[in-house]
This record gives sequence, C-alpha cells and structure tokens, in this order.
Amino acid sequence: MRRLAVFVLLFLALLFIPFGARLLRFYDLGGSAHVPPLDFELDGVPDLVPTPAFSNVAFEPGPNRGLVLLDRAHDNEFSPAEIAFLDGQLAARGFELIDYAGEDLAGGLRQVNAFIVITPLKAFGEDEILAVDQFVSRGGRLLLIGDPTRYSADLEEDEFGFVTDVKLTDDELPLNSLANNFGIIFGGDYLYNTVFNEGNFRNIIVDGARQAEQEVTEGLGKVVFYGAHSVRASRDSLAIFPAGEGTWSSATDRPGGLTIGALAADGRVLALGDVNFLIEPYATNYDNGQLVANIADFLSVDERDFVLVDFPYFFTRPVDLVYTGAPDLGPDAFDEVVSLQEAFRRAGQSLSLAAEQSDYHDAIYLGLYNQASDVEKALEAAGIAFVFDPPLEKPGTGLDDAAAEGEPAEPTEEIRLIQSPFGSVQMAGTALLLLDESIDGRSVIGLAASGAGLQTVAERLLDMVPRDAGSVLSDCVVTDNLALCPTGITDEPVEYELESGGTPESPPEDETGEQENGDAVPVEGAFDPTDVGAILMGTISLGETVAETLDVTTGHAWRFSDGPVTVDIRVQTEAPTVDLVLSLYDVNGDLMEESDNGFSGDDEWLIGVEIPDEQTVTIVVRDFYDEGGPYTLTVEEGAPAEGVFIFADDDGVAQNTGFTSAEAYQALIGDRVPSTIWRASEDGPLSLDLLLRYEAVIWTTGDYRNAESLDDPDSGVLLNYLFFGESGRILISGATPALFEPAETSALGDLVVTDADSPLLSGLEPSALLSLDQSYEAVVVTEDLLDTEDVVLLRRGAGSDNTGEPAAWASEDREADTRVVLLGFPFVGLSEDMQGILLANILDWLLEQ
Amino acid sequence: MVEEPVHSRSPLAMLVALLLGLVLPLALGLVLAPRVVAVPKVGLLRLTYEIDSYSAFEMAEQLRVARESDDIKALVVLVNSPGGSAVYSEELFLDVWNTRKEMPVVASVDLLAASGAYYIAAAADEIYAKPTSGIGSIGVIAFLPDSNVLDEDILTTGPYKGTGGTRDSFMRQIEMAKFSFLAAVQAGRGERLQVGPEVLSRAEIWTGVEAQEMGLIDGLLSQDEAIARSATLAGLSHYEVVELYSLAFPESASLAFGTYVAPDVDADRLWQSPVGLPAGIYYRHTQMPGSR
Repeated sequence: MRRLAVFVLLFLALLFIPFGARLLRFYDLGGSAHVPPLDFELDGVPDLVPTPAFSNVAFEPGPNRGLVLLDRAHDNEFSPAEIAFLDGQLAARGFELIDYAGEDLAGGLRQVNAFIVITPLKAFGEDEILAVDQFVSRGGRLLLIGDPTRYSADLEEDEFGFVTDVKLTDDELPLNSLANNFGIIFGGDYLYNTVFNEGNFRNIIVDGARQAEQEVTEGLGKVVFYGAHSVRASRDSLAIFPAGEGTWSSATDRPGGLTIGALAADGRVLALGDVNFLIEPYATNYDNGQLVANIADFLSVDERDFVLVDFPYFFTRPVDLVYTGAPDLGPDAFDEVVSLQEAFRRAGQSLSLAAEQSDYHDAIYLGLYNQASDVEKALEAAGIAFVFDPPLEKPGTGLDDAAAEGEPAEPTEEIRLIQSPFGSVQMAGTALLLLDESIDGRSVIGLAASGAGLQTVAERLLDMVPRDAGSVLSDCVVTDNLALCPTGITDEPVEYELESGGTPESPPEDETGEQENGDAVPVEGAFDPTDVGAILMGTISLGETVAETLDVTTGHAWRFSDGPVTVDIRVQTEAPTVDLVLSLYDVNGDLMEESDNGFSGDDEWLIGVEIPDEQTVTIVVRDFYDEGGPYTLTVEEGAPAEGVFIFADDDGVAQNTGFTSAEAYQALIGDRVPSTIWRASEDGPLSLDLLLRYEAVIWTTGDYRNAESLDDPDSGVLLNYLFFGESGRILISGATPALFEPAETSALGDLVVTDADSPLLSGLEPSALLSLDQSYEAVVVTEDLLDTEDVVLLRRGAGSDNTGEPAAWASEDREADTRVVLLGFPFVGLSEDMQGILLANILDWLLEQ
Repeated sequence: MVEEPVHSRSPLAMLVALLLGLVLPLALGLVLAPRVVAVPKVGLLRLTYEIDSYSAFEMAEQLRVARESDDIKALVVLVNSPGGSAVYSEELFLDVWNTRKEMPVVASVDLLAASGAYYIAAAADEIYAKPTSGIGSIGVIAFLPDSNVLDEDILTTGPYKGTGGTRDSFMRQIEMAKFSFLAAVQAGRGERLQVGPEVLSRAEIWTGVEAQEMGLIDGLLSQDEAIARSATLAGLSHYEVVELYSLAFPESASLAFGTYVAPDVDADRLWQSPVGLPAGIYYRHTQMPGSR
C-alpha cells in the first residue's frame, strides 16, 4: 500500500515536472504582480461651461444727430451684420453709419463726428493718413479695431483652377499704417489664457479692476474679448483693458504685460484688438454690451472743430438762406436756391429761403460786399473790413448819371478793397467765404462784388456739398474759416446792389423745393425713380461723366434729355465689391434696356441705345448687392448696332489643316451688311462692348479644337454675349464648337435635311442629302441635350457615325430676344451652293428685328 | 521449515516498472504541459493614422481578441497617429482601460501620438516613446455650426433643429470636451503627471524628451524594450510576440511566409491635414490652413 502511494506520488511528481519547468521558464514568479486599475471615472470635468450672464446696457439717448463714417475701402474683413449691435447703439443716439468706399477720405470726413476702421486688409495711403490725422486733430473721433481672425488669404491655384495652397498673412496688419500715426501698434499675435478664460483659451476676460478708468471703461465689470490682438500704446497713449498675468501672446509665447486696447490723441482715438465682442451673442456676454454702448458714446461725442471746407456738414440745425440787403430776387436766384436745396437734401440737410435767420437755425448769407451790413459783426469778428472810397452810389444817381448823360466826369481813383487777415485784396474778381460761429449757431457768409460774382459763390458752395468734394477750395486762399476765391470774371464790376433780374417763370413749388414725400422736384413728365428704388441725383448730358457713390440700399437716377440720339452708356467702378446694374427707363418708367452682365467690380454698358425723341429718359445705377460704393457714369454718342462680327476662333489645335470658315462667311455676306473678321490668333481678346456694336455674331472654329476652350476668355465673352446680354444673335459653327467641349466626336461626312417647318430651311428639300467635302471628326450631340423648343435643321447622314443625331439646330429665347444657330461641322465643308442658301436663311433669321 | 519463495524481478518487469513509474508520467507531462502551460504571448496592436469608425472597429476587435485569449498576457499598443474622432478616441480609451484590468498594457509611440492617439495611450499602464517622437496636442478641434437663420421654405419645430445648437453653446461643449480629455489624461497618468492643465491645454506637440519631463510618458524605450517592459509587468520571463491584427482578421492580414507583416508607416500621410472632415468634435492634430 505504501509502495503504491509512493509510486503514485512519484508518478504525479514526474508528470508535473514539465508543467513546473514551463511555468518556471515562462513566468517570473518572484516579480511584482500587475495592479489592475479601478473602473474609469471622469473626475474634474465641470458640469457646465456656462454662458456668461447678460448685463443690461444703460445709456441715455440724447437729442443729437450726426454721422459716423465706416471704412469699407480697404478690403475690410467684416460684414455689416457683425456691427449691427454697435450700429443700433449709434442709431439710438441719433447717429447714422455711412460707408466710405474710397475716393476722397478727406471729403468723406467733412461731415462726420467719427471714423471707424475695422480690420482693413489694405494699408492706408499717405493722403488718407493725413486726412484722418487732421480729422482727429480737429476733434474727430477715431475707432480702430483689429482682429486676429481676420487676415488675408492668398489662394494658389493649379492649371485646372484647383486651390493648391493657401497663404495666410495674419502677421501683417495694414491697420498699423494708420494706427502707428497715433502711437498705437497692433501686435501680429493673438492673446490666450488656458486657465482663466471665457469658454475657450482665446476668449480673454478683463476684470473691471484692471481696466484703466476712462469714459470708455465706465461702468464695466467683466468684459470678454473673443480672440484679440495685443495692442501696444506709446508713451503718449494710454493702455486700457490690460489682460491678466496668465494671458499669453502667441507671438512671444510669454505671459504678462499685454493689453487689448489703447486710447491716444487725448482720448480721441480708441484702438481695440478684437471685433468679435461687437457681434451678438458675444456683445451680450458679461458687460460687453455696456462696452459697446460706451464706444457708441465715444463715437457720438460732438467735439468737432469744423472749418470752412467741412461745408455744409457742420450745420446741425435747419439752414436759412438769407440774401443780405433784402434784394428783389429773380429767376437766377431761384435757380441757385433750388439747386442748393436739392444738394442739401441729398446731404441730409434742410435749406430754405428766408428773409432773415430764424432762432435756432443756422444760416447761409449771400450778398454783395456793398450789402453786407447784415453780417457786419461776423466780418468784424473775423478781422474783415471793406473799403469803398469813394462810397458806391446807387445807379441813377450822382456821378454815374452825369457820365451817362455825357458830361465829363472828373477822374477819381476808386478804392474797393477787402481788408482781411491775408492783407488787402481787390473786391473785383474776388469772392469771400466765411464760416462764422460768433453769432448764434453756425453761418456761412458768401460775398462777391457783383451778381455774377455771387453766382460763382453759390456754384462753389454747390460743388462743396458732395461728400468727396474736399478740393473745391483748392484755388482759394484759405484759413480754417475764411476763403478768398477768384470769381474768374474779367473786369468784374463792384455793384451797388444785387439784381438777380426778372420774374421767375415758374417759382419753386414750395420753399423746400421738395414734394410732400420729400423727393426731389421731378422733371416734368419723367417717371419717379423712387418707384425703382433710386433717388434722383441730377441730370447727365451727352459727353458728360459723373462720379458718385452709391449708398447702401439706394440706387441713383440720372435724367438724360439730349435725345433724339444714339448713345453708349457706361458705368464703371473701382470698388471690387460693387456689382453694378445699369438700367434705362423711358419717360413712362418702362424699362428700355438693362445691363447686368458683369460681376462685382466689372463695368456695365449699354451700347448703341437709340433715344428716339426728345423725351427725358432716366438712367439708374444700382449695386446688385445693395452694399454701395463709388462709380462713374458716362454717356457718349454711339452708333446703332450694325453688321456682322465674324470671330475666327483659330487659336486652338488644328485637327487637320487648320482653317475656319471666316472668309467664306464674309464673302457670302458680301455687301448685304458690313462685316468684320476678328482672328483670335492675331487680333487679341474679345470684349463684350465690341460684340454689342454688331447686329449678329458668327463664331467659327472650323477644324480648330481647344478642349479647355470654355475657360478661354474669348469664350467667356461670347457666352456672356449669348446668355446674359439682350438680343444676342449668334451663329456658331465648327467641328467641335467650344460650347460642347470637352466633346465626344465621331466621323461626320454627310447630312440630311430635316422636315422642320423653319425659315432656316427655306430652299432646301426635306430629306435631301448634303455631302461634306470630307469626313470630319465632329461633335456628337444627342437629341436629349437639346431643348424641346430647339429646331433641328440637319441630322447626321447614313455615311456618318451616330446617324440620325442632330448636326445643326436653331434655338430662340423670345423673352430675352436671343437667337442661336449651331452648325456642328465646318461651314466650308458644305458645297458652295448649300453655303449660300443656308447662310442667307440664317442671316435673314438672325437679323430679323 | 518451509522456505518462503523468493520473488525475483525479471529485467523486463523492471523495465516496464521503470517505464510506468518514470518515463510515462514524464512523457505524459511533456505532452500535456504545453497545452496547459502555453507559451505566454505579448499582443501587438498598431494604432496607425486616423482614428475613425473603421480604425476604431479594427482596434476594438483586436482588444477583444486580447482579452478573450488565455495566452495573451500583455499588450503593447504601437502608436503612430494624429488622432481623429473624439467619440472613437474615447471608446478606444475605455477599451484599453478595460483591457488593462486583465493584463498590463504598454503604449509605445513611434512617430506621433497626437491628440486622440495620446488620449488612447493615456489609458495604458505605461507609455514609452523615442526622444523625438511627437507627443501631445491635447485638445479639441471642431467646426462651428452655421449661424441660425430662418428659412422661408424650410420649417423646423425648434430654433436649432437646423444647426444642432448655437455657436456659443457649441464652443462651450468643446471646452467641456477639453476638460474631459484633461481628466482622462489625469486619470491615466495619475501622480506621474508633472504639469497642470494650463500647460496641457496649450495643445502643443512635445518631443519624447519633453514629454518624459512632463510626465506624459514613462520613459524612452525602443519598441522591443517596450514589449519587454510589458512582459515584465505581466511577470513573463519568456514569451512570444503576436500581432493581434493577424488573430483578429486572419483573412485580411498580409502574410509573408505565414507571418503577419505590418505595413510601413507613411510619415506624409501621418502628418497630412484631413480634407472634408464631416461636422463633429475631433481630438486630432490638424495643421491649420495656410502657411507662412
């Protein structure tokens, strides 16, 4: 028994030796045991990253009114919707935002309290910087806003137009071109704080305790900037909104000493490194709303020191036009009044003729030097005196009468001088303009030696009204409030009193020159342009060019009355964002012609428009996107569209010998109508206005082929002519017209005339077989590619591939008055007889009115 | 007196007895032992390129195979990834975490363990890298939904039916996702972590040397050393290394002479910015558009 037990034990021991050996070999029995982890629990995650509380915005709307100029001329990277909250705050204070789209910044700044520049991607020019500098030095407010999320992106494209690379220039800040002038530098960085932030590392919280105490920070607790540049202030500037010590700059990757705002120029320039805090909902977080309100207060402070060149935008009250000396006014004077009223209305001002200046009104005084007693005090305050030695005598009395009666007069030396801070100046040939603030309100005094001289004063004032008319006084001797200007009148008499002559045939409808609805007095019989969303800007004559700036939502209307005549009307813009639309309305308001061919920044034109009689037509210029911007409008004498333009598209790859049908077309057209051949390889690129001068266009590619021809600029112009123009008439022919590229092709050697009831098949027998001079690799167009209203004229014959498929067809759009004939083979491949018949039919149809 | 018979043992009997008593159990033991005490294995799992539904499925399957295998005693996750989908990163983090309950898991970073890839690695017991490996990018990237506008022709029953939420709330959601990421790293690294959330939130990609200083990894080891380290953690002195992909997807695995050959890592593809990412939240390193 014992032995058996020993045996079993031995058996088992031997049996398990390999097990043990393996265990010992594979496992380190003395090693430390792996400690499994506990169940995973997410600790340290906040329940919520809360949206900050909204704090009410407190402000007291005042009775002010004014304008704030908003820079849109430097590729500013923001949308109007983004500053809607600020706009609303300004509106509540009686201030309106107006756009500066380019041209004359000095002129634009004349009328505004403040200038806002937000995230420009284009630097300011020297003239602009000077204009802003002068504006600020005269009390204007300037708000500069940069933002690290707004930068230039230059796209690099490959030959197929695909974007291959994007180059960002977020470290170049064009805003600094202006900001540096005021001792402010926007850093090419962004600020971040990974610990104390508003929901994201780039959202920087600035505590009230850290803000410099200024009007713009008044009443602020916490404000948040949502992605901000650092802003550095020079010694003369004041840093505001300093970020906490835990805030870092991406440029240096160091924390501390960073600020997001600065005040410069004695608090008249405010610079902020973020635009997003203006945008809802961020504008409502913490005290951001109050900050925006404070900024609106900052912008609407009326501290402007206006000067004469700011006319008429320094008027803040209704303006009385007063003729000094209470003369009897005739039609000439009424013309001036009406013109000034209209100009003032366009400038948002109110002007009315008055015998004397009313209380709480501003005034324009016009008169002769000899009738300036009404404004004597103002002249005296400006250091101006008039010398009449001897005094003027009223016509009909004294020496003048004696001379008139033929009695010899004793020669006397007449002294007629203006004594001014500039020194003494002869009255004759000199007009005087003075801005006076010594009496109640603001007055502009315009004086001259004669009625004719005074008319030049009125015209000069009229020229000063447009926003961009800052240089009207460039030929004058000017101080801040005084200008002495030449009248340009040779031997101008110094008159005793103003005589404006006669009785007006039709006095103005009312003193304001406006209808009850506030619109301009319309030209008799012409339609009211407000019906099409445009305001009447004035008249334009043949050969004249006018330059204006479209407002954000309103078109401009110009009357033209020089008919009957054929005109070319062209409108151009330098603003890349303006998508111009040019319309022409007849006297009844019916649309005669319209051009909206181009895209933003492109010109628009109406070529060869016939104004049939002497009716007043109205030209309306609009921005398709209603964003506004500058434009120039030109009306020139043109000629009616005439003849046929033959475009030989011969710059592709020749499939055989390389030919077009241009010569054949011209030969067959003969003397029927004038024709011109334009060769792509020799004559350069096409232009739409060139095509519009012809009644019809023939586009022949012959056997040339360009697989990418739809990207060819010439093709673009031709398609524009065809699809976007009015009354486009075009014949397209060739083995592979660009319209169908990249095209499937197959052999085409013969054609069959269809039985379509079309004048284009006149003289051709249905089912007749037309052989081409050879087999061409021609475009294959299947029936389903055609519109149901297209008329198939010829089909591929039995000797061709794709037998029965369309080879020639015609298409007409009656609404757009366009007609197209397409021959999917080289026209010269037809026999000469067939060429003659077919082309005659086609021309009859295309040239049909 | 009767003499007791003498029981003499024949040599044959002696031989049989020897066979039965010594050789048989030994032979039996030698036959049975490999079946009972199999060669322990260290499973290799490769996290390469984008973390998305496809790669997450593949990884999850391999992790399942590892957990269900009696032979696999340790797991090494070889990381070469810029991260990817937040959801799938989180799913794989939990899968690795659960696997770690059954066996030691070591992460070994070759070129890059960025964002979601590091998120997953953080679930391992230990993380090793090379001195110039890229480690970090701890954070979230997401694309804000469009602004909420009313459409004349589209009717919804709630203001955010069309966008899923406000841009503001989305920003806060991804901030919470960042906190969740940081918490996962904290949970995985524990007291080994030498830097606070203010540093981790910078979302930098650090080198292996820097990452070691910061406690984001445990040391600088080669892949073989990392495998050995996982074996040590599992208490193995001799082991085999198996590619889990060939076990989980035997039909798809590329085999050379019967052995799984892992594809080379394409560094260009690894660092390539994604194109056309669908809307969502990502734990992914992304080169922002543009260059200077």
